[in-house]
Amino acid sequence: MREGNDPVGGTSAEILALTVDPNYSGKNLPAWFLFNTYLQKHLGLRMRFSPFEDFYACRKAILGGQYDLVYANPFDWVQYRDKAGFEPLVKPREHYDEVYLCVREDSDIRSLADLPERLRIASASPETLVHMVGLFLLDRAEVDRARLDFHFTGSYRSVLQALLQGQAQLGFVFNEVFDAASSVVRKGLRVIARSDDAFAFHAFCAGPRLLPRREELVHVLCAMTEEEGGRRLLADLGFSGFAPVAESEVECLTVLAEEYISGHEAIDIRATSSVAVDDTAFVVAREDPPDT
Amino acid sequence: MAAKFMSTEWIRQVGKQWDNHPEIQKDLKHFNATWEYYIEDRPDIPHVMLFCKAGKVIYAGPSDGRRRDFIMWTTLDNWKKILSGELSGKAALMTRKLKFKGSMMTAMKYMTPFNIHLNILGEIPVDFDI
Repeated sequence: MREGNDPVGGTSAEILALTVDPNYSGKNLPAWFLFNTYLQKHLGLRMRFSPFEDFYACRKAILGGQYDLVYANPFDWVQYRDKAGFEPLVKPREHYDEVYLCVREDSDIRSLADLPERLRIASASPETLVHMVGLFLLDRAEVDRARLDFHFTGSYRSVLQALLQGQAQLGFVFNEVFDAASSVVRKGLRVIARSDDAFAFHAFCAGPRLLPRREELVHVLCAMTEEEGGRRLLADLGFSGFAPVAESEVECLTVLAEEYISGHEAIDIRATSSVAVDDTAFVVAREDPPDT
Repeated sequence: MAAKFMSTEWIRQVGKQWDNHPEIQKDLKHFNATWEYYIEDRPDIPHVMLFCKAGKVIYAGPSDGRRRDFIMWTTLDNWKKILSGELSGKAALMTRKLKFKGSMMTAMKYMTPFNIHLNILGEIPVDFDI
């Protein structure tokens, strides 16, 4: 442990706090406790790790200033940056948030063309990129949103449970959760569509008390691949390594999240074009209704 | 003879390429938008634009004053990189090398076909001596 005053904004007795996206309250939780130990050792600070079971409690605690380091999903880190002074510093290397549209293995739904007229969907939270991309996948398949009913489960992992227990016909499943699920769970589900955007990512975000040490933190995380203990831990966590977040990436995802959260999906073409457009031509701006 | 980059002739060829690309047509058959391209460091070169309705380009030519849903611009050097394939369309957008004004959500939703569009621009013979 560090002795005396340290640059974390207090004394060596001060204990910082780490948490992660509720997605990780599952099977790789022990690795996150070890990760916390790794950071304490390499940064010379005291930090406790506590996970959350659902998004709402997690967001409330972080926005309430109870955490200093957070591994957060894209739309949450935009919010933490905007409202609580966090900065996204490091992201998993070559590892993006994608979405699988899953049904139960014994479902009659084998493709998007088989979706019933009314569709009950399990999704972790409407305020996640996973939910937004799930909607995009259905939009691209010309599934009218008016056909959809949602069951919000509060965490990514509980989407799998909701599907397996028959509480929903389709799930918006975070790729990382599906890929990390047990073979029994994966065999119980069928992926009928998936995104391949390679655009958004989770990130480690440092809060105001930890930001003075941002360079050290970035270095420690990005150098994990350079030593055996770090590599082992990365493998346990399911990552190949970490890389710094570029400012341009933060800008892109911030704009995207702000548009989504504010409900600005698209522009009414009538307001943006000099060409006369029939009022009935658009359901969601920019898209003609599919042929019926 | 290759069309001059960002000329009316060039953007019309871009429009034809858009209309004839099966993946773009498949993914964007309900897409309606106007968008403009220009060269950031060549203010002397007029802006060009495309207007797509139900996936088909119905106007390709000089920017004519109508409002645009999207505007994309960068330096001539970066345009060359995009057209040569050195820089993918998505990477250019993500790194802000290709500047973008418009709905990011719509761009994200149609990222795959739009990336194809940007990535095949270089297949059109072009003269950068402008």
